[in-house]
Amino acid sequence: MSLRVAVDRAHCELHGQCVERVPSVFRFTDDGDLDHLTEADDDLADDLSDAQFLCPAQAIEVGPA
Amino acid sequence: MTDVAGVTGGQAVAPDHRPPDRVVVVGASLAGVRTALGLRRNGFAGTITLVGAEPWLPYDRPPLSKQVLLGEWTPDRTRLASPEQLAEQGIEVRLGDPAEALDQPGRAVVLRSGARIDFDALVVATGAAPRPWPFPTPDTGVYDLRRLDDATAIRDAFDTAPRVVVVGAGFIGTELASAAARRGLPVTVVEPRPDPLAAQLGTLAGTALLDLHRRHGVRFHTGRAVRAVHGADRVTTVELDDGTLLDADLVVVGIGVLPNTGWLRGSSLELTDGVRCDGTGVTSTDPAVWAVGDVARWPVAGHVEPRRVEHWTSAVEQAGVVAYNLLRPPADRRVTAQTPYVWTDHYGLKVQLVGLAGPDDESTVLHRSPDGERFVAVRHAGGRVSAALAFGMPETLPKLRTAVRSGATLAEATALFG
Repeated sequence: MSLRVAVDRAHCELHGQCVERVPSVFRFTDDGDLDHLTEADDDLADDLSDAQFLCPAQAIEVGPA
Repeated sequence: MTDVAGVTGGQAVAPDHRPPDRVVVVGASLAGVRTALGLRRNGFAGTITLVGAEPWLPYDRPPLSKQVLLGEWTPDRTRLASPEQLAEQGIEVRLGDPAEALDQPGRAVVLRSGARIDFDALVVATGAAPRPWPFPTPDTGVYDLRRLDDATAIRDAFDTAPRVVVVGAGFIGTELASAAARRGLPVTVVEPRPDPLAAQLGTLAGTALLDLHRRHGVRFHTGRAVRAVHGADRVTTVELDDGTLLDADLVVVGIGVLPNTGWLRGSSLELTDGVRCDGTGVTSTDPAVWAVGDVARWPVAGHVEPRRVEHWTSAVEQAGVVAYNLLRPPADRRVTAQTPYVWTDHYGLKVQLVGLAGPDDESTVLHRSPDGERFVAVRHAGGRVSAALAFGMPETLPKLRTAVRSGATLAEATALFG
């Protein structure tokens, strides 16, 4: 089983809270953009939930794949 | 019920922990609503009552001085939880009825309406209010910017093409200046300190941000205090302490906030500049009372005394920690020492600050964009990094957080950008 991860780029403000919390899923590219995996393992459900919670722009969506 | 008879001499004697059945959260803004939702996330099945002084459902404040003022967002978009979501989560919401007193021995909160709400655990999340303006002002044309109705009133006043005077060049004042200038309005900022924003960002970045404002036409009177705000009914002029008169149709005062602790007077809680808590979020004197957000004074990494940090992320982190800890016995609780993070938006450029610098910490630029407009800097004292900021370079945040968290030396921080 796995989780689907999406970031609403119209809302994302590049605070990097998600990069901090779940670096295995979210990262900054060298030119300053946010990049992320679109699928993540179920083990990361709690971490992804934290990232959603901490996102000042409330731009992260996590759901069943 | 928790036995409070064990509270003596300001020292809490930990009672045997029984999970609460009734939690009351006083304050329906970010920290309060996130605590309430967080309790459910942690499996809490008891009653939750969320008490709000303002008449609106919980909303987010950072957009008020940004997207709402610019007219990019309608107020609805600032909402932090829908009525349906709160109902579905079993959170009873009482709005427009501020808490007036804490009956600590009786374990109840008393509201302005006279209603008493009993609790087993109380979360204080009453936030802060604008520092009151010390002089009389005309009835019309002078605003604070803290609440949703402040933001919509100022946004609407912008439509009448006012001459804008901002008193106080902190984050709120300068964001407001940015929004007004982007709306094409003439803006003047008055700040008693000679170096605005230096306390928050250091002189180097503070100066860079002021220069950005000047390039957008904002005028500054620094090192100048306001002596009087004139106008019989509507504001007409602002008089400075050197006699300068500034014509004004709209004055916005942003001179800081004070924690809303008045309703807790007479309780055992330590209230000097906010409710004192330990790193688990429980108050220093009452094991059944917790505090989160702008009203709360928590430990901060690298600082001896707990202090209030008026940041969005601090409120959210504290809410998450309290929602976890409140349901658990002391031995199982999480302890945090926060690393503060705050951002501020000006003309589309984002300044992000990690950590908390001392007022005299030095600034050093570690990295600049090829055009020289954007940069990364650290604040440091005694060779150790206390804070770091990204001036229009969000991609550098992970490195900056690493440097601040680890208490890096200046050389180590420099090497991160080598």
